[in-house]
Amino acid sequence: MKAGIDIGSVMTKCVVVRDTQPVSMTMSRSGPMPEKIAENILMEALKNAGIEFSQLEKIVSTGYGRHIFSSAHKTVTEISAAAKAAFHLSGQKACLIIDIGGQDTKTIEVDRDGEVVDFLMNDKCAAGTGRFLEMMASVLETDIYGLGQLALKATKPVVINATCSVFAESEVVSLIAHNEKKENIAAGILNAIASRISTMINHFKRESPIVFCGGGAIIPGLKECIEKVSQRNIQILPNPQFVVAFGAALS
Amino acid sequence: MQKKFLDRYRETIFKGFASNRGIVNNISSESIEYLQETENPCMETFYQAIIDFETKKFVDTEKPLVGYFCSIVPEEIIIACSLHPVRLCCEDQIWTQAGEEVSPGDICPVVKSVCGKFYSGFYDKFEIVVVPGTCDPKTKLAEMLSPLIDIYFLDPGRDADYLKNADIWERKYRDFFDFLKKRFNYSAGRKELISACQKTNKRTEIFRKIYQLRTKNPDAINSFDYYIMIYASFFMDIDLWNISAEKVYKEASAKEDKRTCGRPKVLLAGTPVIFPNFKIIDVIEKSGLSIAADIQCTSFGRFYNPVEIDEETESGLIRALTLKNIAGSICPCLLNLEKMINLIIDTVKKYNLDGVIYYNLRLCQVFDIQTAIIRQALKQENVPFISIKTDLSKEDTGQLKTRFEAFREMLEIHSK
Repeated sequence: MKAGIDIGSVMTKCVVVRDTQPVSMTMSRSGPMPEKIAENILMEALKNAGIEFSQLEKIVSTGYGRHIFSSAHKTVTEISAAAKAAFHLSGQKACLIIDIGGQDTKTIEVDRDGEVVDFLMNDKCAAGTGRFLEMMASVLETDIYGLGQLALKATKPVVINATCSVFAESEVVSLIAHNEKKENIAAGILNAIASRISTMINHFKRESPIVFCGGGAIIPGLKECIEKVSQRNIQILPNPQFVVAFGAALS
Repeated sequence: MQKKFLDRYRETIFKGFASNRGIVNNISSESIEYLQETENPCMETFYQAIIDFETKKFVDTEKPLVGYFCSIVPEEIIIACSLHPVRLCCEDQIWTQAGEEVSPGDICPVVKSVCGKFYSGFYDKFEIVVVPGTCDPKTKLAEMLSPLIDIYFLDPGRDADYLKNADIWERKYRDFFDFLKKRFNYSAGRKELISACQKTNKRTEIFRKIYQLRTKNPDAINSFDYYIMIYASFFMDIDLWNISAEKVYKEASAKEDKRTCGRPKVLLAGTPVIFPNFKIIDVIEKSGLSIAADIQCTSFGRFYNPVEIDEETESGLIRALTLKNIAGSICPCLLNLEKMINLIIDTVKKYNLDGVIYYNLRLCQVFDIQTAIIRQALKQENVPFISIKTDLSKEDTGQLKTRFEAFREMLEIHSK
């Protein structure tokens, strides 16, 4: 039995695996004491799986807080962990991963041996990340899930020009002031992020199938938005928020 | 030793000139954590030179001070006129904050830092500043500084083709030489130029030995000390630098066999690293990578090529200087991207390096703009590559660490 813990900037996730099969998954907001949260969700995951701490052979931590989790035997970056999991989940084939996390958006190229050959991430700016989507959702008085649901009802999506989160927020506020429908604004926001992701995708070889994970993958309609902008088919991996923690457990 | 130096440096800053101006509230060097406690007394000359520079004891010389920017300005001509050249390129958050009082926030951090230093009176001992027209911000910098100090504007154009431009460049350098001689009422010619070239060639000879030693074993002279030496060369007397650097090399090469580098070796390209903005080297080293070589205008670009003198006439010497400083330039402002790409690939292969880190200092667009082309070119050659964009602040060190650690994991798998 192994456990993978992904201490992200927004959520902390834990996956316990037997051989290569996930047997328990838990998640909680990272909050101001991420190590404590990580311990709690690990214990909860073990309890759900009906196993003792002592039965764990290995704990691998990943994510932003990977170095603060003292119980971990090993740390890996979320890039390597995502690659490990995606390769396993996509039938041991080369793939291109899109991972929209709280603070980072990544595109990772995995070769046919399951190894990372290249990756691209956003720079310091939050534009294109889960944080950006949360900020925009908050202006529309909803959460990221609600943002996706609003976008699905759009009749005429607006165009959000700004690539900077702060400027985009001003633009959204201005659109609200002009009585633009929330649904159209929400669709505009998703299109803006899809456009950024699409640019990142185009840096890589076109032949690899694209898989999608991270918190961004649960937003209704975002996958379709990216597919439309990039003209590529995308498959959401099972339990997308837990993919990186699962990859850590396999590492 | 390095930690002690940084403590001294901070103390100098907090008590020093910038502090009197009320502008010390953030020191980017505080992020440096990978420093070694090991004693390296040979480095003391460089550390002290930096402390002296910060306290405005620029150099121990009677010679008039001539400030300049960029490697296309020929130091040799300044030295030949019995003047003391000081490279003024600066990436210091203290001074960028001061510079924002007179320049917009969204411009090149080097220009902002330099404006901050000049407008605060830090460079009041300088006689003249040579500003090259290599990039747009520098061109405007010439105009921004002109109310404060005499400016010589040296514009070589942006085409780096020697055959097409040799005559133009020779004229520009000759005009510059004549200007300095007249301005400082000094008679200099062939003999003085040869002497100046011998000094910079000696520096090249020592730098090459250090560079090659570090490609084999980056720990022999760690990145911190390496970039300290580079920075100190901006203002140190060249003879003193040559003697001091030779000592560092001798000490390091004697210990070479006892040290090993088990970490992946990377080439650092892109925006130059200038003290105290060592965040990038700090995070790279802490992420388990070793900077074993670099291609930067402040170090490799400035030092690696000697002045190759075919004929020892004044004209022949000036041409040799244009060949080294302009035709040989790796500045992204010039039309030389293919040369830059080939240089990166050749260096990686020659020294058997594991990958390339391309560093973009935010708002230095000329480096940033060519990132995608370099990425593609290196990919075709199967050279692992990562580009990073960051600024002078410290807030993104966690994000940077994730990227560099992931890059290290990728390199470790590939090298198996």
